[in-house]
Amino acid sequence: MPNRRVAIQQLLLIWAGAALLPSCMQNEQKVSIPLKLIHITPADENMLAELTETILPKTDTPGAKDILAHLFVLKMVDDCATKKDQEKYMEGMKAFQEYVYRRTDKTFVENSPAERNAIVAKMNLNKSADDAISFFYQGTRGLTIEAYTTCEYYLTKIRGYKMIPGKFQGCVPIKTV
Amino acid sequence: MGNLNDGVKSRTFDAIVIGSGMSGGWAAKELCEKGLKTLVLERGRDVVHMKDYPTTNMQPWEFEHRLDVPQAIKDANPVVSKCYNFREDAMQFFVKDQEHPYVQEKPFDWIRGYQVGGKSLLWARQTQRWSDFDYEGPARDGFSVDWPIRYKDIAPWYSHVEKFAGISGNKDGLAVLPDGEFLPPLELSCVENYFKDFISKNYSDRHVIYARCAH
Repeated sequence: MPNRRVAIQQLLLIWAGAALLPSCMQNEQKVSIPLKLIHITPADENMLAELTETILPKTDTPGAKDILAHLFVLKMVDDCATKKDQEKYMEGMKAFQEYVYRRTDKTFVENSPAERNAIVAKMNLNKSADDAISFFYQGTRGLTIEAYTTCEYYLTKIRGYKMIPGKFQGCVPIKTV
Repeated sequence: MGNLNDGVKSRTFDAIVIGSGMSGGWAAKELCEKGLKTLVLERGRDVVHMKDYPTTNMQPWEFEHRLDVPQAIKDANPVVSKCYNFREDAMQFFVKDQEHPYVQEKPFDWIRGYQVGGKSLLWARQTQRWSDFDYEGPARDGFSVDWPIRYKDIAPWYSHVEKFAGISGNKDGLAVLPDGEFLPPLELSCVENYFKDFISKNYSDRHVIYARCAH
């Protein structure tokens, strides 16, 4: 009988392992959109979502996360950046996370919103194009703003975008809009 | 035999226009209006209004890359992707580099659109009149063959085209950019107004105007 017990245990182990293995691998790949050339983890995606949200936080208007700005950032880097820029961006993403961890002993996401603000404020001062961290941050910032200012919410609710032949007014005081 | 003769007659034209782009399209229109039996040959496909403009009714946020061109397409089309208008909303009207490659002995960016209307579907609608400063330029500065015409010869034809196409602009009274048959332009933005005022306060010989533009 012990043999049978061992056999069943082994079988169970294999079965559990087989069930566990794909789910582990799936976790590794569970990024919200398919990416062709760049590779990120769900943790990277989450970090990027919080970073864009720190750049454009939710107030009485939606924030960057509400309009999925981080997915636009990823899509643009994956589809529209040169290979060289993709490499630099990914290098910068890694370096940025390491920098935050070195400085705060926490990941970006583990930092409080106020602490994240402080990190972003510091990032805004560094505009060096050679520096990978700055390249990653400034690229993310630019694409976040682009995502926001071209999204349906912003154009229809904030800017009052009207299809042609909506009247074109070249210059009106903001208060009257 | 009567049928054959009819066939020859129906295949005989007063004028044959090759290409239906900006020049060809205009030539055909003028010839037809003057009563000439005109045949237009166009190598490209027909473009039917609405049906063949897949991006016209798209909202700005519906463009996957907000009009940017994916890098893989740029890499495959180094020539045509140099054109400012080769964007996500108009790419479909350009000839891709691989479709009709050509030899460049000296650098030459040949931007082509094979369809009815040709590249007239792909321009920025800027329509400034040339002045005698331009027509006299080659002779005055000796850089090329003298133009056989002067502004006064072409001015009525500018008017002819402007009235048909609908060109917007202000009568700015500038010798370098003669006025034409203009429809009212759009307004300048606040920043443009500021810039215009700033330039006019500081320079008497520089002018910021609303560019003459086809509707």
